[in-house]
Amino acid sequence: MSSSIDHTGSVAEALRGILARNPKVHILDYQTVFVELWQAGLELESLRIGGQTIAFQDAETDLIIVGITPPDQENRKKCLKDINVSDHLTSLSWTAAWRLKFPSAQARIVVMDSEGDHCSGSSANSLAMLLSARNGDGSNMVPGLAFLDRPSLAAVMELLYRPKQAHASRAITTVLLRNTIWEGLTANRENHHAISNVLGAFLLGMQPRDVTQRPEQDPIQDCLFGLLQALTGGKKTDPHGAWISSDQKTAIQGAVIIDDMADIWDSFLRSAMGFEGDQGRRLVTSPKGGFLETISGLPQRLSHFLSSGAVRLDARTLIPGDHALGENFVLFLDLRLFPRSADANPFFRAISVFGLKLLDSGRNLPWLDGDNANRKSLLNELEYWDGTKTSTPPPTLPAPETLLPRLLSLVDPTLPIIIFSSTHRTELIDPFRDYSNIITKFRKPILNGMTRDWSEVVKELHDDFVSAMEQATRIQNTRKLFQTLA
Amino acid sequence: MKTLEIFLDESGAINERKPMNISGVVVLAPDIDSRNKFHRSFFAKLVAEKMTVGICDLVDNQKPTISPTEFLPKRPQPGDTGSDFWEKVIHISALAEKSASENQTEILTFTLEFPTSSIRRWCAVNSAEDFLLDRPYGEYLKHVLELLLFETPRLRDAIASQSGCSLGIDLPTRALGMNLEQGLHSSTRTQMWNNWGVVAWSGSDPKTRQPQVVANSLEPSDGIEILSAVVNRRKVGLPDTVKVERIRCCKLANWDEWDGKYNFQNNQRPRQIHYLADYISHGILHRQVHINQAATESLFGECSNEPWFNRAPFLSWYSRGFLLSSVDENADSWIIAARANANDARIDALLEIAKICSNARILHTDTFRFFKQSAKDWPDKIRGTELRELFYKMG
Repeated sequence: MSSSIDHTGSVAEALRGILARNPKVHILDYQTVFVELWQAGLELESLRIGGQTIAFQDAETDLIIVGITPPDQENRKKCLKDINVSDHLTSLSWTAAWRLKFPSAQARIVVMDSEGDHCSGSSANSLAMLLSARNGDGSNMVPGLAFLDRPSLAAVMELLYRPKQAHASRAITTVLLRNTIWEGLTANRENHHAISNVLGAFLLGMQPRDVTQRPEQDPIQDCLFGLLQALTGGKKTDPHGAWISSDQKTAIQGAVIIDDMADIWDSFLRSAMGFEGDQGRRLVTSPKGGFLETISGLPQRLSHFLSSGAVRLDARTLIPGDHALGENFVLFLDLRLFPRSADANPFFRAISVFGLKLLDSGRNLPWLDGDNANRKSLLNELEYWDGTKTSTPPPTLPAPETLLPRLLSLVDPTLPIIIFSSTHRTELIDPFRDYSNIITKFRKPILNGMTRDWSEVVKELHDDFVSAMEQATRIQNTRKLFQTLA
Repeated sequence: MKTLEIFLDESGAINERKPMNISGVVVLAPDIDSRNKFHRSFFAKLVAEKMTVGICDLVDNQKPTISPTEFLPKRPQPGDTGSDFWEKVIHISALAEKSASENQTEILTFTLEFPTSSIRRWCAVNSAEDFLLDRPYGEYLKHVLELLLFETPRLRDAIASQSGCSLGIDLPTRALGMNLEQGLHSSTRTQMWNNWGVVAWSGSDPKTRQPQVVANSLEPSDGIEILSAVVNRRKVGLPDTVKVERIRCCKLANWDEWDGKYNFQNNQRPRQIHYLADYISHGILHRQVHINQAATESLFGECSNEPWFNRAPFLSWYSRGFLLSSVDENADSWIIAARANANDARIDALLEIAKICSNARILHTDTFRFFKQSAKDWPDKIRGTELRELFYKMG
């Protein structure tokens, strides 16, 4: 009874053997039941797994989850592969989410780390500490939850046979759990692929829609949905359904997303624009895993477009493929297209070559007229990135991330371009001031702390989205008028 | 110096409250000599085939020919089939085309159909003014001239020719007759009109012979005022290289109406081809055709199926000019928009067009096709401030 349990693969079985005579004690191997636990374990107050029915409302029930880390997922979406979700989908996270979701459930859940080296992530570490913490009277600080780090069998038995506390979850406990998870999710904003940058997409993706038309999800995505639902109280907030009117939908017709995380965002955009059930005809993204190739070829495709003498960009110039979207669509364009500057610099050089051709093309460039300074400033900028004339950057060089949107705006001044970025930095928005078909109203939500109710965030996003779509519709109507006259 | 001669006529009457039209013929020649040769050639061919239509001058102030015994009547005669009459019209059109091609001259035709306002009761002075001033006709006459001088590509090019352009415009005189109310003596009504400043006289309805009071609504001296009004509508008027040779109103006196009573001392004699403008406008009005059909069909309806119709040059003539309708093809909006654009009010122009372009049917009309020729360049000239304003105003 005093030897520690040291073989993860057999721990759950061993415990089951020892505790087999107690039908109220359930032992689950986390890696084995990972998906079921996240998909079903946060939906109902009882859970049936592996022939066992776990009644969470029963005060006699004990659930022991063995293991911390989630299993490796081979079939994850490309966009999610680069994101570290393991730290946020541990058994500790699930347990905390469960407590948040069912604060009055009477069962006791014990998370057991049999190897002791899987709480390396900051979020998991913090939760482990929280679940291990005791009150002055020796009771668990988070009622009904416990964490055991490489416990001896005696420690397990002691815990199981310890009288249970009456544990209506207290408000302070709820706040602690929620903030611990939330801080873990939103702490890192610098890394382009930090999970904080996709949280908004997941949360918005939770907005109600026709589930029968919901596109196939990555299991990891479903797990994150579950976690976020628990964090936000599991409530689906208004406004829901399509966020644009039928008139706007008719005018806009479709959308193109240029964003390396388009896989994550297309679900929300499809829903918000009322394009669900269209089999992808009205919403075009780069092929799975082909974003870098798509974006790298864009300067060359734009040059071909320019030399063709065509007036308006079509969706195939932006994203090649066999899609039916023509000239009428809204472009959602992320600013940070390259995670590494090594990839970005050749792109800026290539897009500058296109920009110089555009300035020299004799096309009507309405956003540059009236003031030669604008044209000259852009010329200097392009020559700098092109690398042909000057090696020192002009003193007021705009951020290079803004170059592509401005050039697209110039080459096609009636294409509605919505800057689809989470950045609110002035230096990334100011350069668009003169480019009136660039819409900066709607941005990916920044989620840094639970300072506001999620429904308020959604309401604000909804209003910004509606406003952006109104702008886009007016631009699109102008575009259609020009098409009619052409 | 290129020469451009415009011959206009109208069909319909304001008091019939049905759509009227202004139609006409343009003779576009590389120089004055070619133009004069064209007129002589055309007249000679008509004389040779005994198909002259009415009194005319012969371009060099010769006296009018005496009334011939064989001629093409103004309208189908009793016993004529429609086809007989219109075949003759087609024939003289073909002669005109032949004369034109022999003299390096081009012919264009044009039509603008427009609604007339409903007539108010006669007790009101302003309704009388509406009638007497012939407002719908007067306005559309200016519209037509504006379209010819500024919006018709072939004519616009000729007017802008660096070698200069001679411009001649022949309008028809126009008299309005009003039946007298019961119990009212013609001299009383005539006096009333004279008191309003209108030179009126007693006459009779040519069809019913009922007594009427008659007044001219378009007289020879009105031409200059009309042309001035048209040119002043545009910020950039006619180039300095354009020489206005004449702008006059001519009395069309067909041989079958000629009784020697017309006083030609006060009336200009028309060119023979001016009568063709009358046939065209009459054909548009009285064949009850839909103007938005293809030009050949709309002009002469079922005649377009006749074998002789293939000789008609109208299809190419209209392709050089225009066939427009304010009745059901929104030509008014286009006219406003084209003028606004020419006067640098590009946003007003585009917003005006945006109002009508939502109607898909409009996009397939001759009116749309004509105006699109110049409107297709509007977006290419738009400035940033204008485009911003347009985004703001487009609903």
